[in-house]
Amino acid sequence: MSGKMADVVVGKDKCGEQRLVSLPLSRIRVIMKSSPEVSSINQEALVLTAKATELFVQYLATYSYRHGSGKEKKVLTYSDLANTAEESETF
Amino acid sequence: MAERPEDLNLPNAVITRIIKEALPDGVNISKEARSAISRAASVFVLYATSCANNFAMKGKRKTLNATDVLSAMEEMEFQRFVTPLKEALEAYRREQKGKKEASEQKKKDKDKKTDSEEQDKSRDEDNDEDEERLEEEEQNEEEEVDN
Repeated sequence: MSGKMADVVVGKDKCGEQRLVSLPLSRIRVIMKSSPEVSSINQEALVLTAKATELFVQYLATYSYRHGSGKEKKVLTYSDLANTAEESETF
Repeated sequence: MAERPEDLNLPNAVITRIIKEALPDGVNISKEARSAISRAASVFVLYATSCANNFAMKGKRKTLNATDVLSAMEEMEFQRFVTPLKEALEAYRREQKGKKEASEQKKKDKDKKTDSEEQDKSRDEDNDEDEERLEEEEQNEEEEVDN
């Protein structure tokens, strides 16, 4: 079940159009369900969570890069992220 | 918790791609950094889910829905995500609608083929009936205007 839906949303379109979500919904669902209080998840909520996670990854990566020292060396390193975690309230 | 952290990870390849697309060209990511981001992403999902679930429970619902997720984002101080998420939701709904119509159309075509002539005949009759109804309505309107 989930596999098929994941394919569809992950963008294995015949047209090859722009994908909506890159992350596998089945895996996202597994993580969400590991939370004991959660009974069931609407498909839209699943898609949005996956999309939000993507945005989060992008944001974390760019934020850490910009604020870290890796940008001179053109590499994002662990210390950049550690800095972000320590200094940014959001993260 | 019974599950080990490894099982709750997202695929490395996808995470790496998202990171690379977000960063300027030519920038690389160390293995540790990627791993850290991947784990952070899993934590993000858990936290967002828990937060969204609170909203669902407030609404006395057992199923998490899109609104719960959006509310969770605001709660987690990721308001910046709300607009792009709403757009994504719209796009997703349109896609779903399109698919539903496409599969319904396919079903109609399939029925037409299997029922062949009989179906065509009754369809023509339906069309005629619709036209008659329309004409009647128009006539009624004219009468009212006269009055």
